[in-house]
Amino acid sequence: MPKTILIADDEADIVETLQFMFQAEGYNCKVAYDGEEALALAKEVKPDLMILDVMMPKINGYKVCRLLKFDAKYKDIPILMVTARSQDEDKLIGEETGANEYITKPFDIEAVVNKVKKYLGE
Amino acid sequence: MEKILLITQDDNLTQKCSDVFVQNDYKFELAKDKQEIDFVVTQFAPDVVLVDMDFDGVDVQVLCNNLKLYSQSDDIQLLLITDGKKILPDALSRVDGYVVKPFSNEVLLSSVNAHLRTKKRLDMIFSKTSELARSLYQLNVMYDTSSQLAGTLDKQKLIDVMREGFERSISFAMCAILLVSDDDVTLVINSLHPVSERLEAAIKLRMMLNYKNLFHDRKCPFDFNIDDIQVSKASKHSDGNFDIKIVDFDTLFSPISTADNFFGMVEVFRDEKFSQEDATCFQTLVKQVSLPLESANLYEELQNTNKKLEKLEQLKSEFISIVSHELRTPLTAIKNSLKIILSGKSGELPAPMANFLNMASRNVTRLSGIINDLLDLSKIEAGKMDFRFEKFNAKTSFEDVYATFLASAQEKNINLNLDLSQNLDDAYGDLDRIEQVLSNLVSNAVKFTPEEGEIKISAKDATDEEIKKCNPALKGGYVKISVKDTGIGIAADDLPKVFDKFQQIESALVRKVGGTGLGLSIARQLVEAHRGCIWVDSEVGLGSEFSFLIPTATEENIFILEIDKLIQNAKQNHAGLALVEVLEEGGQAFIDEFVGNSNIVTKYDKARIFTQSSSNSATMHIVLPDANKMALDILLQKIKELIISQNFTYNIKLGGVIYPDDAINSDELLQRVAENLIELV
Repeated sequence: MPKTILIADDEADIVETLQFMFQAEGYNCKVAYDGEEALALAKEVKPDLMILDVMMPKINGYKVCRLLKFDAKYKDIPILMVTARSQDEDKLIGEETGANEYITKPFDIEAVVNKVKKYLGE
Repeated sequence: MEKILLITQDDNLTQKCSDVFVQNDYKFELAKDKQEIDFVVTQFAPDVVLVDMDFDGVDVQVLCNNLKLYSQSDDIQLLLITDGKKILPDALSRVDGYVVKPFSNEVLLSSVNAHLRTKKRLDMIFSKTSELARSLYQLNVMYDTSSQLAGTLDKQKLIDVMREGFERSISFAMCAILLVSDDDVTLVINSLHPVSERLEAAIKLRMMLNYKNLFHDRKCPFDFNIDDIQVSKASKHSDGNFDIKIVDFDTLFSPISTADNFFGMVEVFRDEKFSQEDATCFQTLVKQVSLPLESANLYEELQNTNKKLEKLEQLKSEFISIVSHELRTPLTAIKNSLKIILSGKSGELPAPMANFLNMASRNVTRLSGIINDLLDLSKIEAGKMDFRFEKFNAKTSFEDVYATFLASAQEKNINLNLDLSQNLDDAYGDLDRIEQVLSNLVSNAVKFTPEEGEIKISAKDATDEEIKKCNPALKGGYVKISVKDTGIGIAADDLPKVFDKFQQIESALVRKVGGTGLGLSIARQLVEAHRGCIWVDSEVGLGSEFSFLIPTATEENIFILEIDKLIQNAKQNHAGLALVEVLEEGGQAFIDEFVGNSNIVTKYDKARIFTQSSSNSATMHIVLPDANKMALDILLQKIKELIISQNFTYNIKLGGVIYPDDAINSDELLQRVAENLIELV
């Protein structure tokens, strides 16, 4: 049974490249393009890991992360937050989100794949 | 023509006098009885009064007294006509002279003339005295006004002070001030009684004409239409009405200007004629206000410029931040698409294609480096870089940096060494940022060192000489970190410019290896934010050694760096900050107890306490963010009570200062608080 990764980013191109790499590594992928969708999908499929962009429409990534991490049912899902270090994000920084790791854009896709493998115990 | 009044009932005397005075061109009047006297004196206003002592039914003494009173001043000349027999001493004291009957015409005339001359002199003295009093008063008003004018740079207030000066010194019925500037034209009308609309329109028109006349053959400094004039009116009394006929009043007019600037015009109106002194006073007041108005203008300009600059600076960093952010996302997509293609996972790739895609990939990586550098620089310059200072050991931390560059060094057959002193003091700073500085230096070294070269990263405690050499601000000790290479070196001429923005020593090699020219500038700013310093020793062809100092984690260093950070935060949030110092000379019992069991400071949840102690004294600093003078005074009072209640046998001193009132940087703030300590025990 392949493990499932949920990718949430409002940039379709980013989602597509990540999806391609993860599928090439044999993972199953689910994608979401805004915070609301990401939250609903996370609860529905209970993925093994999430890649979560900070700046997303409707609900920002920090909030999605916090909502999941403070919920006993989902708190064990590893979450890798993707940030672009913008001023808007700086205002959010400092809030306790419980994210497992932060990845700064522009990220190296191979490095991300390696991190994912680490969290999924491979 | 001089006016003579005769008071008598003697017809012969009347005839004689009338003849004499009329013939000699005097105006002559006669009063025969008591009723007539009052009337004639007030209506005719004589210069000389001749009083016949033989006047039935009237006490001459009382009469003389009254005459002096009617004239309302001492300058009416009273001459008594007497037969020489019964001159009462009392009556004589009331009059200015007397003529004894019988007298010749010449005696009468010369006597009257003598008194007329006296009267003229008296009149002159009187008018001079009152002029003098008036001038003195006006001078006082001008002095008063000028000291008020010197005290402000507020344009509105300056104009008000000038108007009040007019009101006190020349008492106008109406004052109209037209103020013109780039933005607006205002007509301020102050009057005793409300001004009618017709009059207001007339004044507007009059001001407009005056304005045009002032610059009749030149270009007016401000162009405006009569409809652009905003009118503001105020009157002292609410009753009555000033209408168009006020324009018939006497007026004084002056432009308000200096050699270089034109501010407006002022005109005052009064029903009474203005004297020469009034005009002088008016002109002086107008001149007095012009200079401060010019200063106020300059001050306003300066403030506007400052605001614009601040705004611009903010826009600049916002712009860079937004641009960097917006660039990151597409860059990520490009970079990773290239990675996927190059990995061969999306299909096999012919070698030449792979070559060019590698080139694209390399340059995308370079581009993201530039964006990161720009963002860092804009953050540092805007004072928004958020440092997370902590104690760390350079030895363990730098092994990571070494490991990161090992592969790229080996690619070029460069021998990368790590030489970390075994007993290295703990350092204090933002580890991520220090690693960033070190990575930058190592990455440069790798770039500029040819194959088979050598790079050595070393860290040891800085010697006194090394610290003295670059004279950093802290006294608590430093760790020195160096990166030495056997690279191309830097020419002596270029050495001073190495740490400047966008500096890269021009050479084919540099262009080949790439870089933003920002890395070393960022490194310097990061090191300086730690109150450290960075420098380079280099020789062309032999190599370079970059070194920097970072503070060790001593109480003293930590204290200063934390204060720096707290003040920077206050600056950014436009908030105040209180700094309290307690100096215990001869022990540290109070400070120990305070730190261990401080129920005062727990009330202030954001307060930070720093202590430093030596053999027989101790210092404590309490920093209270978001505090003002009042909060400081309350805290000082509480500490003071606590100290006094404990009966210490040695000196304890206490003091406090406020940012930004007392000083705006940490060094000055600390100096100020240390200077103002007050002995309590």
